[in-house]
Amino acid sequence: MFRRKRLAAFGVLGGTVTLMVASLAAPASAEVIQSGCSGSATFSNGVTVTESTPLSEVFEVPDKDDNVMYTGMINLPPADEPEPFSGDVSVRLPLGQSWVAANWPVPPGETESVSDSGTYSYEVPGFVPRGTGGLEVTAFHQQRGVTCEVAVSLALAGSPGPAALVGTAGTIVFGLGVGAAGSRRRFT
Amino acid sequence: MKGRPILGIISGFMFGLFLGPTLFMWGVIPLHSELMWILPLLGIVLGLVMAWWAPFGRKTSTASAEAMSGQSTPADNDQADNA
Repeated sequence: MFRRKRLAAFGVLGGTVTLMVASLAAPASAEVIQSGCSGSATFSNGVTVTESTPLSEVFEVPDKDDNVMYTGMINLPPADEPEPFSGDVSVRLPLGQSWVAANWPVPPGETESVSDSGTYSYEVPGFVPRGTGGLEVTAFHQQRGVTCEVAVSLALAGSPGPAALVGTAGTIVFGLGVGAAGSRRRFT
Repeated sequence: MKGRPILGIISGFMFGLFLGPTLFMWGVIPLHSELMWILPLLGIVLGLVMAWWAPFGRKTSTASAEAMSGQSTPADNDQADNA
């Protein structure tokens, strides 16, 4: 009787975790959130992402400092005189938060052009775990009333390292704590 | 509640808190996944359910413990004295 109950309890715990993991599949969504532009970014390992890259595909990019060759164009005729513009590249975080990795214009200014290309250098701090799940990176640009927003999924190459092991150990320890919460108290 | 609800709440919360980033670091879920904040809440519920259900350990009560040990109760002793 008790053995059956214990097996059922383990079944509930296992089933809960399985359901949690099974429900993780992100719904397919458009990679171009707001249209009106095109662009690409090419990393040193040969990975190229464009505005038509599916969001469901996760691309591994170099985990160390890298130079990214980029191009970008907003679907507008060239301006006759300088006009204000703004944009950024951000990483989506939980709870609707985001971390801005780069923004423009720096320094503040105006432009006549509707396209740009060049090389952007980035550095990844050592504490950022590698080989993780996807990071949704969003590029946003606004100019002359036209807004463009494109998202791609990227992940840093490499293995997660000690942080993942610490997380796994913590999960196991507190999972056992949840199991211990299911042990009967002794009444006297 | 037959189990340990406080332990269940704390352990369940911490279990979910560790599980989300662990799944992310092993590449199972993306960083922006809503599960990052849902899992700690689910963990609390799971801990409370486990504490309520209490499937581990033996059922113990004073009466059954005495019956199993075969010891006499104070009432039995009084009856014996009267006889």
